[in-house]
Amino acid sequence: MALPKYTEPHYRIWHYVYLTICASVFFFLIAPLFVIFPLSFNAEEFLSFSDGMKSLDPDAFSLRWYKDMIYGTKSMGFSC
Amino acid sequence: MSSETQQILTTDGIPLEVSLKKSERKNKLKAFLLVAPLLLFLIITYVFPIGDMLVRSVDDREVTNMLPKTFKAMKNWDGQDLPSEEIFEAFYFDMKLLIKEKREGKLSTQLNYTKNGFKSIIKKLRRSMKKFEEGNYKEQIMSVHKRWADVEYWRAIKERSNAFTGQKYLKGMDMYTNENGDIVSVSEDRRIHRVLWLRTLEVAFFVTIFCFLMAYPIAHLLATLPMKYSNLLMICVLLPFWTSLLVRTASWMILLQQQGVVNDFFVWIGLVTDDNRPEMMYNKIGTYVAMTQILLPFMVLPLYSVMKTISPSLMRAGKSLGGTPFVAFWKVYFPLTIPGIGAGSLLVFILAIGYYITPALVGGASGTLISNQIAFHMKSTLDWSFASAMGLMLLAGVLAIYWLYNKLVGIDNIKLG
Repeated sequence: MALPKYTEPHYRIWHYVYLTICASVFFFLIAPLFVIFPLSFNAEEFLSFSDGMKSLDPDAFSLRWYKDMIYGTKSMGFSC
Repeated sequence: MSSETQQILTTDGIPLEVSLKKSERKNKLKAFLLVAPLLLFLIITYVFPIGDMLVRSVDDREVTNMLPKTFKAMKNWDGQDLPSEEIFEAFYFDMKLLIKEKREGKLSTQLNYTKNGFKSIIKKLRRSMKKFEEGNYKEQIMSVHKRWADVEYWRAIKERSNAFTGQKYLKGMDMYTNENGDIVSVSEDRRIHRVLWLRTLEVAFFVTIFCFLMAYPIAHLLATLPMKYSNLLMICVLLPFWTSLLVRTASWMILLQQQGVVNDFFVWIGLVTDDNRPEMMYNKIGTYVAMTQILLPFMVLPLYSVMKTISPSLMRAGKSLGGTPFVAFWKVYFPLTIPGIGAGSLLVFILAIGYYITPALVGGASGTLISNQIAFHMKSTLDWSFASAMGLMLLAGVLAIYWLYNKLVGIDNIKLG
């Protein structure tokens, strides 16, 4: 995608604007998928980042949901 | 002369024509047998369910069969004044039979769909009917509850007298037949379905536009980048497909809720104050954002496959003929991508118009679509015939859009790959 040397400045600017647009669309497309990974280590039951998680408190993280998935417990089930 | 009229025979002595027909028939049969499994599959999974839906949406024989005497007696009743003793008597005997067979609950559910308030008065009638004396049923039934003396309720019963009815379709458009037999709209504050139809169209339309605006640049990037980069980015486009729809919707719930990531970010950069976080979920914004992100790959892929076939030399030729890059893009590149735009837009629009899970989870009250209403009638009110009628109206809408697209752009002008 390297621009030829003779590219006029305003097309050069447009080229970077275009790349920025593409990058933000890719971010919009991909970022939501990665939000859910850290949340799978949530120690609480709510579908949101707890204050403990935001301040990176180790107690706020746990593997309880993975344990639940393997051993199966009552707390499973995501109803809509 | 005679050799011309003489039939041509094969070596076995059978006329050639007959022999040819025989072998052709064999081939035709073979070809049919080869497609037969697919045809059967299509009929079972596609034609039959839609046909069943069509029948269910107009079929009202259940009620007709439950009150045969009443409907017979009602034939000459004009629906203006309270029905005569004869009708009340017929209704009494129909009800007696239904109660004996324990089917009066079904009747009350069905009649409740037509007019609210039947459930309780039929229950009351069942209790009182044990003590009824012979004769003068009109007085006795009317004394059970004041609604039995209301002509509106009898009119609602008469409405169900036809074995096949289009009332569910009218209800889906917020219309009904009034006492004079005219088709009129319901009062303005009760027109929920029209609001939902319009909102569904609006959401599907704007989601398609947003998807197009976002997909076009990245599809162009994917198509013009060297292979080693574009493959990596292609995985990014396909990654959402490898994740469950429910998970993707849930991640939007995490992002958009009031204590969510996006709001936290807004507070952090100082865009909003902490106690004044904007509501981004359980309304239309949530539906728009989540649906756009989820449907974006469906727009990128057809666009990419079309752009991949456009030779870069065309743009160079356009530029060398004196066009600026923008003119070359607009006059040369863009028209060539129209088949991809058509395919992607049609795909996204049709998927969006029947979208269900995402609006149900992030839509709240003001962001739900007609499919949620259909699901509500399938699961909660159990009025399947109404749900079928609305489902078919949605199907008719999609077909109408397809037809319109064919008229405007032409269906040959579509390219998925």
